[in-house]
Amino acid sequence: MLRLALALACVLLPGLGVAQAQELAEAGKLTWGVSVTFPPFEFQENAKPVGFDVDFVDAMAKQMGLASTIMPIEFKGLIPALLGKRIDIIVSGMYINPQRLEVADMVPYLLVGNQIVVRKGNPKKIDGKASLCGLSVAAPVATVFENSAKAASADCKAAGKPEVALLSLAGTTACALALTQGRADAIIVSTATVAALNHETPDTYDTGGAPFDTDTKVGIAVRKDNPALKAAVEKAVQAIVKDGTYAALLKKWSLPAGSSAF
Amino acid sequence: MHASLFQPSLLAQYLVSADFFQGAAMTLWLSVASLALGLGVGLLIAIGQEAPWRAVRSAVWAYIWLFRGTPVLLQLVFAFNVLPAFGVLLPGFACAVLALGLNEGAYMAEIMRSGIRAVGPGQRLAARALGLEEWRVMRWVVLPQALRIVIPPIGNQFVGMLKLSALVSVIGVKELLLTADETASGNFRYIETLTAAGVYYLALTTVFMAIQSVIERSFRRRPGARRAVVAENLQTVIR
Amino acid sequence: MTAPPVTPLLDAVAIWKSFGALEVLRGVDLSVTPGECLVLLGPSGSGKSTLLRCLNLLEPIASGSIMFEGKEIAGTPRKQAASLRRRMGMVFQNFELFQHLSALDNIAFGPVRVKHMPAKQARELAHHLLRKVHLPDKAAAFPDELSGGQQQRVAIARALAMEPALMLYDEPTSALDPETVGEVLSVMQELAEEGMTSIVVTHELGFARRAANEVVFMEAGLVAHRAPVAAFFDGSAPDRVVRFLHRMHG
Repeated sequence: MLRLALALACVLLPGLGVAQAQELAEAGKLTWGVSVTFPPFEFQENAKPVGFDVDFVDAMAKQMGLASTIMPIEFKGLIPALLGKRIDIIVSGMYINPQRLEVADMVPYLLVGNQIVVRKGNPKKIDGKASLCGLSVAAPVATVFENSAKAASADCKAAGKPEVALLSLAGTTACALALTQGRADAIIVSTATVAALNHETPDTYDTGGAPFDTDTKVGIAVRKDNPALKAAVEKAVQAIVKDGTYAALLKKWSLPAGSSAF
Repeated sequence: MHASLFQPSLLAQYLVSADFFQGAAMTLWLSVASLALGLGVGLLIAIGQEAPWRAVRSAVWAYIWLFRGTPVLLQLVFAFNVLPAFGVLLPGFACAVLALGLNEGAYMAEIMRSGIRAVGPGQRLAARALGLEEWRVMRWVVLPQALRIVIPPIGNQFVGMLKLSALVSVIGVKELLLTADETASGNFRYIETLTAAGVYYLALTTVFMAIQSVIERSFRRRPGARRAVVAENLQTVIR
Repeated sequence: MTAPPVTPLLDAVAIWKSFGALEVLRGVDLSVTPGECLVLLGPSGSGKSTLLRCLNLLEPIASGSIMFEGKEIAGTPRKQAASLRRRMGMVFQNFELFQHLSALDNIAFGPVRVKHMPAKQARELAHHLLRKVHLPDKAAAFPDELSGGQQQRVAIARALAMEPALMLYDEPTSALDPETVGEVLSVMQELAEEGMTSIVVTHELGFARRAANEVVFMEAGLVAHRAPVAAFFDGSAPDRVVRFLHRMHG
């Protein structure tokens, strides 16, 4: 009888998510949330998610002795999923900014800049955020890019110019589609994404000005009430950097020089 | 914890903010436009189902099958992302009304068909016996009675449409749900933003259910008890 | 001196009709002269109601001829059939008043919607007909506010509003409470006595005796016996007819 109860407990308790050293959504698994719409960090290829973040988390999980379990979620749903303990971490090219730091801890792992991307030939002659007044910008909901577009619109309004028409979609790939369809005149993406877009569909895009905010950090989001997991993540990241895996990944995904956060 | 779980003052702020009000207005406008399209299409389809020509009946059947058989969300994304490939680039609002309206048309057709069927065949016979042509029979005898019968289910469809409109947030139309999402994306206050959106949805649906009651009562003459029972049964037409 | 033969108002010859494999009318002849009231009797399933609906082209026939007002009308295409039906009024067992209209509007419906009569004129006509069927103060009543007998009288008025040459009654009192049967039959009798040519399918033998000029007995899709009313009821009819009459407790 006791043996039966014990056996049942061993089978059931892990499934109930009983707290271990680090609180995990599912024991033995590193459940990570990602919006697979942001090349080169994460995107779909042959119906599978691939990208820098995918390889990065695989390496991290191996270091932590956990199984990398991907959970694709729309970008705007990532933080709610993290706070709701459905996922352990967010690795989705997520920029570190004060608003996010208020609700979660973030472990930096990349450095990026932002850039405006337009259709080939730059028909609307866009050069920098100030020239976006009166035009339409597509940006994913709940991203820094969306905030950037809103800020640009506010600046336009303050300068007495027409506002920016913001088209809020689900992810960067949806925004790129809106750009090529003509629904939007411009999109804002990371500098790494520019290279990836041109690689995937050459001769489709041009840039609309120089990169800006080039000191933006990208981080892994962890719940504030999970310090043990945060420590484990930091340790794993350090290990990957030290053994050269990190540098190799930067090279594999053609991230621009200066992307390393270390 | 640094911030409280729920800030009533923030909720109140959202409830009176211009953003949320405009989002609610857009939700209302979307619903009305889609329902109008759905009613028109539905009536045509319902009449087409009784047409004497095989080709028309088959086309109508195919339409209903297609639009009832695929998710609205798919139809919405199709209108937004696939039509441009065929050279049809419609702004988000137009895509929304098109998809929601055509989808609604399929359900409206079923409702109206039931309403038309509920008008006893004897009524048609009596009208024809007077020497009335077929289309006038439909126009002056069948449809007036059928429309009175279908008011409750159509009212339900409208309330449903108010809620269905939330789907169009995925194609970037700035209605109530997207407004809530956007607001939350800045400060992560999901409880207050989603509650505010919920309150607006409730307000809209409640007002419309009240209007539906008024309309039903204002039809001084409701065809007899038999038809009222049929109307009750029609209320269970759901998607 | 025999009177010259009167041209029938309606003369149906060799009417055949089937519903799928079921033969409902198997060579029926029927004719009615102007001003005549003809009663059609017979067991249920004999085809009486179907015959009536064939006469005003509501139902197509498989074969046969129908002469009406001197013209052949069998086989008239749908479109023209509608205008032919204006010349014949029909009253149904279930009244079939338009539920969404008042009694007055029901009666005015034909003149307004079919003949495009001005509304005022149609309403006056409707009031006149309401008085004729003894319901002068029911103009604003809706069908669900009227008794069966009252509804049927409004239905008769509705048919009369089209000024038909022939009235067809399909078991007009079968769905009525016994108390109200009389009021409908007396209206029908009054109309017959005024000279309205009528064909009445009914089980009301008393009405047949009082109002009919001729009685036709149908059975299994055929005319089994036809006689002037007096001869029909004096016991000289064939056995099966007599048996039927006994069953009906005339």
